[in-house]
Amino acid sequence: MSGPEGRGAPLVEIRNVSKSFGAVCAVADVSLSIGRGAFFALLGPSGCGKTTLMRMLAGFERPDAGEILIDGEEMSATPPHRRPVNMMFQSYAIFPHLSVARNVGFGLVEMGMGRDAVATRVEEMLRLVQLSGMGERRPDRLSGGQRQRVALARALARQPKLLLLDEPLAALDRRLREETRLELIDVQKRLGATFLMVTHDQEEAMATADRIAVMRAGRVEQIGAPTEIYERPATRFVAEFVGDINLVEGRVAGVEAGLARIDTPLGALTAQCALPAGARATLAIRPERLLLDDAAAQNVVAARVVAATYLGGRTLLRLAGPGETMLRALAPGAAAGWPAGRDVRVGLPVAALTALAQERA
Amino acid sequence: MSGGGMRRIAALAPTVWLVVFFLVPFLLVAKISVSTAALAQPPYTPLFDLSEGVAGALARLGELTLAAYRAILEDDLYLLSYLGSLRLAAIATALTLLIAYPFALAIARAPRNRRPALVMLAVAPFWTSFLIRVYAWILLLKEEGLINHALMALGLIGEPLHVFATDAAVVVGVVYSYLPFMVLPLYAALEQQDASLREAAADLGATPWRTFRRVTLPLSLPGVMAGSLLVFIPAMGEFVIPDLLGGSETLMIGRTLWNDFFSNRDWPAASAVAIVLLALLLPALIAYERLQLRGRER
Repeated sequence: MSGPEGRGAPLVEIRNVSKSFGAVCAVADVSLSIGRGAFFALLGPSGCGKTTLMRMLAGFERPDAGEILIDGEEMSATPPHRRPVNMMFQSYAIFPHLSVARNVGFGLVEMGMGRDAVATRVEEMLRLVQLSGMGERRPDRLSGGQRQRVALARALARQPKLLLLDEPLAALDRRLREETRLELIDVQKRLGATFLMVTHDQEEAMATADRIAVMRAGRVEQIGAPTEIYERPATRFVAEFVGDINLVEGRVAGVEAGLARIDTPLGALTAQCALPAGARATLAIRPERLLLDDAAAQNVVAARVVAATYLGGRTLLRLAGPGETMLRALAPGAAAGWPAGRDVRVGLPVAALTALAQERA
Repeated sequence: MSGGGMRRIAALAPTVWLVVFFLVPFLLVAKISVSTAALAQPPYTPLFDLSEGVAGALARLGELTLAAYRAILEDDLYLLSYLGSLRLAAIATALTLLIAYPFALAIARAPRNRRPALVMLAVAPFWTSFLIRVYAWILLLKEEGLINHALMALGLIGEPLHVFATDAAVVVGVVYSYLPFMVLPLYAALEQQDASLREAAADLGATPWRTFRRVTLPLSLPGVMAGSLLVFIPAMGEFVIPDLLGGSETLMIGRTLWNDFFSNRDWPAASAVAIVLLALLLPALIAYERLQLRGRER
């Protein structure tokens, strides 16, 4: 199978990996592969197992079951210091007793590299992260953003096959975060390296990664490109975790040529659906995909404006549809055009509707 | 009384304590060290008598002498005693460090909820008398003692080892007695180390031993310094351990001082020995104080 990450065998293959801490199951039978040159994100709420999975790739934890292959080699019993993997820690874990240059060169010394070669490579790495000339600084004299760059340079210095980034931007303030995000992408593209990032921030994952695995309670809920995850969530959890979404419960009334008619409190709606007739389904649609007062729209229902909140550039509408079902919609422009009580005809385009199977509670 | 007054008294208390229990005794010892031994009660002159008035006291100042210090310089016994103390204290401190480091490391790496119990065990010997514990070592070390019996029963040695009443026994006693003073600061330094630093070192290719050499050990150096000074400083002046475990040839300054004071009743000489010891230890004391200050700034 040649997925979007094609180009030969994947760099990382995780096969049926499980890990428990005492009675707590952190990772449950996870399988996924990461292609060469990918910027892959493990996304999920805290405690979903994403950090444990990453720590197993680094070698800090050993899987209870399953295999981890990096570049075709089984790694689960290999200690961290013998893996072709480096990690950027969430706390950055910068050695406080060593200068910036010695931090960056730490791993190079362990490779047995000569002093001059280390110095050259350190200089090169500092240039890459725009810290040229800062080599002699003590870590405690660096700003948060500079510490992050030192950590990145140190992790990249050994040219790892796989770079692990544990919440790389979490410790930075918002403005710096956006800038650093772009720099991370830039560095990754320039080096052609494979990055695996762990994050709980869906916006960060969307903006940075080219593939995302959404995790929940130790399992992978969905793997896909950011647009797939966002537009075609596979489960209700993914739909709700990633961005804002409207969910409407219903039951499949009948299927015809791949299109299902689904009875909902809003009325009968048409959607693409793989579920059989009689199955309970949840329809999901993003607020910005609702069509307001569009004559050509499909699946049109009558609704009334309950509240309008101006968000700057757009307005978030809270709408009451048939059966007092609440919908959230984004409209361009200011709130002035949307007084409370105004009637509005809401279209739910078939292409934007996703039918999700009813989940286990 | 106002709150401010109370606060001023509270702030003054440590100062008063130090003046009464440290500065005054120190000045008395310093004064005795420049007096002359005499067959009297107390056994030295001059004595300052308030009844003689200011003029009388000033006249007696002329009787003060540095003879005791000159004796320390001239008599080899003192020099050898200081060097003996320095040697044994240095050896004992180094051994204590070697033994305490693995202890402290093991406690610092133990599960968090078990650490307080382990620290308690490390200081548990303090719950019994120091003197009794040193006495116990006599029973362990002497020729017909437990250790020799056990080694001979195991066939490891043919005849008993002569450890008791030697310098080696003194070192054993000092290492044993001061071990907790080394374990505690080492533990404090190791326990506060961020575990992710070790993971980072391993991640960057360092074996466990290299991680220890390049990260754990250098970051624990303040603890190594503090513990070494806490053992070295009292070991230099130690009297009880060399007296109970040492041999007749064990020269340590604490013992020499005791002899001057009690056997020779030469209070000025004994006082001068104490003052010189303090002067010798002053750099170490200042180093320790500096270390504590720097630790607090962090």
